[in-house]
Amino acid sequence: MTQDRSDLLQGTLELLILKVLSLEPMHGWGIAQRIQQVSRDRFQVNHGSLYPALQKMSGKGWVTAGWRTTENNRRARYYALTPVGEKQLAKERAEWERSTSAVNWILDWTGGTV
Amino acid sequence: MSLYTEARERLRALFFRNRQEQELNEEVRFHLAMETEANLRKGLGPAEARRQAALTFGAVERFKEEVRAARSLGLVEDLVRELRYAVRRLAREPAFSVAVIVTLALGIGGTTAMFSLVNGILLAPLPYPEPDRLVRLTHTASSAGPGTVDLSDAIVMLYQTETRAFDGVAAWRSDDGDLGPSAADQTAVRVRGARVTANFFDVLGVRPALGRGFVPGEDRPGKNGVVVLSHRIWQERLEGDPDAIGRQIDVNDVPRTIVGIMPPRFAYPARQVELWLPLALDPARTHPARLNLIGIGRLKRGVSSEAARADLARVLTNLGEYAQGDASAATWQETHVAPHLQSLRDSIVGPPSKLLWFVFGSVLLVLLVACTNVAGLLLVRAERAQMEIAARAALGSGFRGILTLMLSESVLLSVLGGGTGVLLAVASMRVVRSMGTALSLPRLEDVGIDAPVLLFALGTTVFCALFVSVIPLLRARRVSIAQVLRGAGTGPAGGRAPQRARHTLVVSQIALAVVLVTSSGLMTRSLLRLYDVQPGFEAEHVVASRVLLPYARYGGGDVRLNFFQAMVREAQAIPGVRDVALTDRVPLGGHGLDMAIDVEDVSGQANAGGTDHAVAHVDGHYFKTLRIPLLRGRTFGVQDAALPVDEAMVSRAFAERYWPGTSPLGRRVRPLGGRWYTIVGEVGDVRYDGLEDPPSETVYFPIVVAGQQGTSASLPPALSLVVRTDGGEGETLSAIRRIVAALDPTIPTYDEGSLQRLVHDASARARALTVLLAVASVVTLLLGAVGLYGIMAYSVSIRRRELGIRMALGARPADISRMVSLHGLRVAGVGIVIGTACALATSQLLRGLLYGVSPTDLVTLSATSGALLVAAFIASWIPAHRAAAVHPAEALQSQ
Repeated sequence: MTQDRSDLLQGTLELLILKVLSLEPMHGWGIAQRIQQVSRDRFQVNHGSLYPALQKMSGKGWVTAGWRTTENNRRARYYALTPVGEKQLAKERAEWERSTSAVNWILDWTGGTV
Repeated sequence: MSLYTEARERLRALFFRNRQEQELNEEVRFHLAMETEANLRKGLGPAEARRQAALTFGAVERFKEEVRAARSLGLVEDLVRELRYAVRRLAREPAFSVAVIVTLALGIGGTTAMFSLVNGILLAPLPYPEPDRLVRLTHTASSAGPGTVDLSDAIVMLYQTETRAFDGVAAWRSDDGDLGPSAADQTAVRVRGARVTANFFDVLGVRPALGRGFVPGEDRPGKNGVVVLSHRIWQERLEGDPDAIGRQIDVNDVPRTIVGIMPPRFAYPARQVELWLPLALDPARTHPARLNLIGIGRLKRGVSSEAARADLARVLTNLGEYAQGDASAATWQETHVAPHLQSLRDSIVGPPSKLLWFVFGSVLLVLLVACTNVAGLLLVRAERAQMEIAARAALGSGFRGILTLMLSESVLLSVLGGGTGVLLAVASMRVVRSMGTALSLPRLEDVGIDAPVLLFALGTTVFCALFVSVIPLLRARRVSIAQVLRGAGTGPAGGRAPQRARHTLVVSQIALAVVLVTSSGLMTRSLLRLYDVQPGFEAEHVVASRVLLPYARYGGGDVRLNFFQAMVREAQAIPGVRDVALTDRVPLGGHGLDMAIDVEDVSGQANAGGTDHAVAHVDGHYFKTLRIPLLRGRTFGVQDAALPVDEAMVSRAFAERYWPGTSPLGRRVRPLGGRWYTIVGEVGDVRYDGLEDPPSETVYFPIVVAGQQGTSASLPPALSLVVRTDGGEGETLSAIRRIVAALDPTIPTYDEGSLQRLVHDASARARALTVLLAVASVVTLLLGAVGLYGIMAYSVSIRRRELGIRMALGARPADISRMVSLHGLRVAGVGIVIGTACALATSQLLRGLLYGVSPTDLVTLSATSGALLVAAFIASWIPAHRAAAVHPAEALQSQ
């Protein structure tokens, strides 16, 4: 499967999970699938990093977890965003925007003083 | 908000680990199932679908570790987990673990047991309300020398009525008594007692457990027919009768009403006192110069000792009004008598405090040696475990991980050692108390394993844990991963830093051992000197037995004299008996009566107040019976109640003090306020009080002396019969008992025993101390040697390669073993030098406890250094020998 996939930084992973969960509660596998789909296969989440990240976020109170049954009658653990998590999403998103615009400034710089 | 959730999550992680593990497993299963399904839909075969699904997770265990790590509580949970691993690791090396735990248990247990003594005796306040307001009253008199004198009944009554600085002033004196039987099967028994003022218990602030103390006015003649008993006597003689109050009991043949029972642990003036009787203070007939009452007082709140002292001095000037009908009052006024206050606790615990701190310090040294030993063992182990440490560090464990690895083992070992040590201390409390009795320590009833002692044990354990972890920890920081994994760490003795650490440990162990063994050696020599001390009399084959004639039936001097003379006559008839004598004071027997003695016409001495001297009343056969040499003059003649003679004898020390170089015969002395006695003889010195003290300056009076104010002759009510016999001591004592019983069946004998045992017991204190120190020294030497051996063996083992090379290059086994031994001796030598320097410094502290031995005694110091050199030599020779026995080829190959 030769696809052009970029590596995902740990911090970015959390941001993406927050975003996915802000739309609806989802189990771990579903989150990974969603990220892959919406990023048009550019991001393939390492499943091994997904769950530790979810655990950390749960410890920080950004998400809560609960067991539910899926439509296929399987038991799965669903994660949901908390109000604190929503605030965190907004914060991290703003931070992301700041970082990317700064990088863009530098990339667009053609020389000389600013 | 988030802190709370975080904490809650982590606590849940800690406590519900299993359930979390199960849930994680289930989550993983679900994930794998979904992934497998997706792969199946993509067209992979079932096996391939599952494999691909598994691959997305990577190594499952590693994954679980990461999840767990994300969930972990940080240092604490790591520690808990490490502790479990540590338990497994230590269980695999039982010899090492047990050795460390036992070492720590000995150190911590011994220190805790000693601390229970220090705490109960020196640190804990007296068990009375507001104990810092309690003081002991004494006086200094300009002619009494540096010591102090006590109070007389006149002074007590004066203080009680006129002073304004005290809530109460009380006084007491010893007064043993015969308790009559309280049940059909009991016989009279002799107990220790005290005569006290009526406010005695109020001043102390203690209420009897049953009944009451004494009421004001009960310490007057005719009103004092009451008694307060101890808890023990109430249990043993009265069967704990709840109606004991109001019952009658005979004390010295006088029936008294029991008015109170004291609580179980009440122990003033001494643990052994079983009954308290009121004094009979008579304001009309006082003896202002008879300073035989021990005064205590309770300061008013807010009044300082200095202010109280000044108040007492002011009051003392009115003494004349209380000194009716006693000629000595005038002389008393002339002396510069000043009140002196001391906290009651200091007066009780002061004298042995130095000894106690010394013993405690010694035990602390043992603890330090034990800790150093364990640190060394752990260091060696850590160096062996370098590979594991390096591996962990390479896997990303970080410093925190290494820290927990090392801490977990030492914490576990320290906790186990500390716990065992506390159990040891609890188990040894009986031994501790009996040692305390041998050392004549006060307040043993307050000694036990209570909260402060347990706290101390905890603190000691924490200290040990830190101490034994520090050096291995410092070493762990400097572990270079790459170096270790490459095996470069096995260079010459493992590099300089570990060698320095090992050497430091060995040196400190040896230094500590030197200090301890030196102190022990000094005390032992001191004890041997004590054994050499001449008590001044011949104690072999002499027994003594004492009787007290109760005043009720033996009031008159002639009645008493008849009894005693009959006793002597009968005793002389016992088969095997050579000499018989009477005395009221047996040397080293603990009957101490010191009196203020006035010496006539001694120029240049402001002796109007008299100086306290040892005094004894003896008959004419006393000196012969005890083989005390008669140096000048003669002894007393036959004693006759009708014609008491005013003769006295003195000991050589007394004569030397007042008439140096000349004969004391013909001079006169008198007890303060009494008649003049002419000295007719001088005898050799006898040590009456203790072998460590200089010989007593003694004045001997005859048994029969003229009574006060022209009454008939008086005798002391209690006398000891001293018998020199060729027969068995037990039989002689039984014979004496039969004689006394035949004369009067109601009079018991007491204080029976051989004089040899008294001499032996007099050095009991020094003996107990020496035994204690010897045990501590042996333990320290053993610990030191074992620790030294362990470290040396390890050093040699990691030098195998180097030694193999040397041997391959032509060194002989003898060279190898010599090189290693010398190395060990060099290190030990440094320790001995440092230790000797420390020992010289600390032995100055021993000054007050040594007898006849200088703190810088050369013999002891060299013997100690010698012993430790020998120990060090053996400890290094054995591994050296082993090293030299290894085949060079083997050594070179080993890794």
